[in-house]
Amino acid sequence: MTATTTGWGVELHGVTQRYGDVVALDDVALTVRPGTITGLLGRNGSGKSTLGSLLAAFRRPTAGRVLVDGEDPWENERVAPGVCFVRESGDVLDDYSLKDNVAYLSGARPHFSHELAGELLELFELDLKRKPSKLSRGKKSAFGIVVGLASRAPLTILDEVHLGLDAPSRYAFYDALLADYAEHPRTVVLSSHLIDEVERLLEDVVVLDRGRVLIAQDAESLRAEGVSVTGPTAAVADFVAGRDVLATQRLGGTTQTTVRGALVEGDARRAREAGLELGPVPLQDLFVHLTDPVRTGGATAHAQGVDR
Amino acid sequence: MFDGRDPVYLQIADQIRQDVLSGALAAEEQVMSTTQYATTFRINPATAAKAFAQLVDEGVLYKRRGVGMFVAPGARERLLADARESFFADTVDPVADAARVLGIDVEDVVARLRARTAAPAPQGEPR
Amino acid sequence: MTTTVAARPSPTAHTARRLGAALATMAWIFWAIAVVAAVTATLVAWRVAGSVDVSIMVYARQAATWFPFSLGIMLVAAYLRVHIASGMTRRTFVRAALLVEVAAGVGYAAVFTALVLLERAVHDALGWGAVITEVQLADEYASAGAMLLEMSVTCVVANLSGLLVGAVYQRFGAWAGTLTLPLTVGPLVLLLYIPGVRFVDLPGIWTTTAAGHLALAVGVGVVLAAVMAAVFAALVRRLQLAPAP
Repeated sequence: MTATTTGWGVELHGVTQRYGDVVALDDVALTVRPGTITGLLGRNGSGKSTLGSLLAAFRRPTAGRVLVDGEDPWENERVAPGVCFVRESGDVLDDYSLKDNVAYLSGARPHFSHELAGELLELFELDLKRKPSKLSRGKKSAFGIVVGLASRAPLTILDEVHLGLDAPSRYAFYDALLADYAEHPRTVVLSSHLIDEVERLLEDVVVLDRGRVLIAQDAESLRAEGVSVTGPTAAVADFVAGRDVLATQRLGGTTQTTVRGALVEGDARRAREAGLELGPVPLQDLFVHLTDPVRTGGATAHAQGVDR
Repeated sequence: MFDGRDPVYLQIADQIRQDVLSGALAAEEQVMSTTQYATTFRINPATAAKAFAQLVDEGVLYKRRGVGMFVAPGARERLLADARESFFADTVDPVADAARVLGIDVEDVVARLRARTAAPAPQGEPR
Repeated sequence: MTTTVAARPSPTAHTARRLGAALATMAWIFWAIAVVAAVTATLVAWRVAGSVDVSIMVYARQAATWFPFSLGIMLVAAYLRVHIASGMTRRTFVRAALLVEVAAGVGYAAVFTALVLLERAVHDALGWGAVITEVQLADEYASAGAMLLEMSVTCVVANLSGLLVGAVYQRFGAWAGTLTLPLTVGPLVLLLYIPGVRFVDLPGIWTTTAAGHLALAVGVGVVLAAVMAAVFAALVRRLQLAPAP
């Protein structure tokens, strides 16, 4: 009988990862709280996939320490079966049927659930007899999701697993993730570009930018830090004076400015009195503004198209 | 759902308070579990849990171990009292502010209030 | 934080089963073709020459080493990445691969020996000879055990060679893999061709008996196998998976 486990936490101390001349992760210090769904956000090349590789012991860091459930995951017989890293390029047996793949996994993953696998295979309309090499992009991603969720690993890292999936399938994935997470708590690190869609699934958020940690906090407080101020240009300018301005848009005499920083007691009233409208800023927009190269003061000279 | 300015957990807590006030949720009635909130509204269960924690602190909900979250007896009365207290600061003051911005005479506002109160109450209002 | 883990096959056993199944499938195909080829060749020779006095089956020796060798290369390329991604360690992969490849080597040798002996019996019944013209130590007068032993060592070295080449390619890339072929494949070539040439006799130092030759060949083979296994293990244990392929 399987015993249930809760999620595993992660700690990174001074982790640097170099591929030749390229620095994918630069002195990263990070904690992932056990049992949470943590969003791992970042532009292409920010180091997200590298992070996943280190946690799953695909590689060892060039420098620094990686701890999964308190131990170095490298060649660790106890930790290895509990870390499941699913990348969009599925690491599955390409020349075997999905059925054989599932059989292989169930022998490898201690908490593997045949029941959940069956449900998900049906949900995504995957034919057990087909081979991964013969599947379309979307179906490959869907199988990756089956692998990631059915393995029920205490640390599950899902890296852009939605690629190729249409919207209804993506939402089916989110629903399946939440339902199984609620019933079988574990740590899920979810990496996605579709921040609008996954925003509310997240408890914690980590934003990587060019190999560095830009943000690491809980989703609620991060969301609360974004305010959009809309109204007559002068009034807006007055209100946002002294605040951390992220972006400004102007149309005629109306300006909408996005600022970062929580509001205090009297602010809502002040804004109302000045005829200003305060609104939330979606995490997606916050993310875009905060990782804007102009703002972060770095060059965008980056290997193109290589997702590290 | 839950798209407003406030954090999602506050919106959930507000929703539950509203339901208790309006009578949609009666005393000792069970509210949806965090799992149900999560899967129904596609949010992280921790968010719902946070809302519950706040409501438990306020005495609106209580937890029955192994069963779930229930509306505390007397919750509605407590909420009514709180709502009455903040009514003026949170609801009436903004009206006055808005009237000023729009250039509406306060007497017109008072007259409107009187007329409305004289009319029969819309359904679902607490007595 | 974690409680006890479910009962499941050990990673080594699980992997060995998977790798073994893959190799077994290929082995069936190989030997089926080999038997058909040998039978066909025998029939043709019979037609042409009237009788067949040599062993045809023994020509499978070359193929029975190079074919599994290529499978060994494939094994690392095809399975190591998935093995690690499925939550198992390189250590268990090394163990499973070595286990399976040694077993496969002995297995191929056993089938080979059995077929040669079978053919010998058939030839006997038909009144033909069964001269072995292949370059190997065990000739038609050697015992079955000797043939089995010699072939086992050769096949095992072939398999380990394959693993080693596969590991080098994975670890260091195509260039290095090709350039180091003399080192990785050399030993196999050595074992395949040199023993049969009969070592030079050095009076007083080297023995000239068949048993002596066999012992030497087997001894060298075992040492080579051990070294290759160790190098293979060392390469794989430190192998870092490339970023998304």
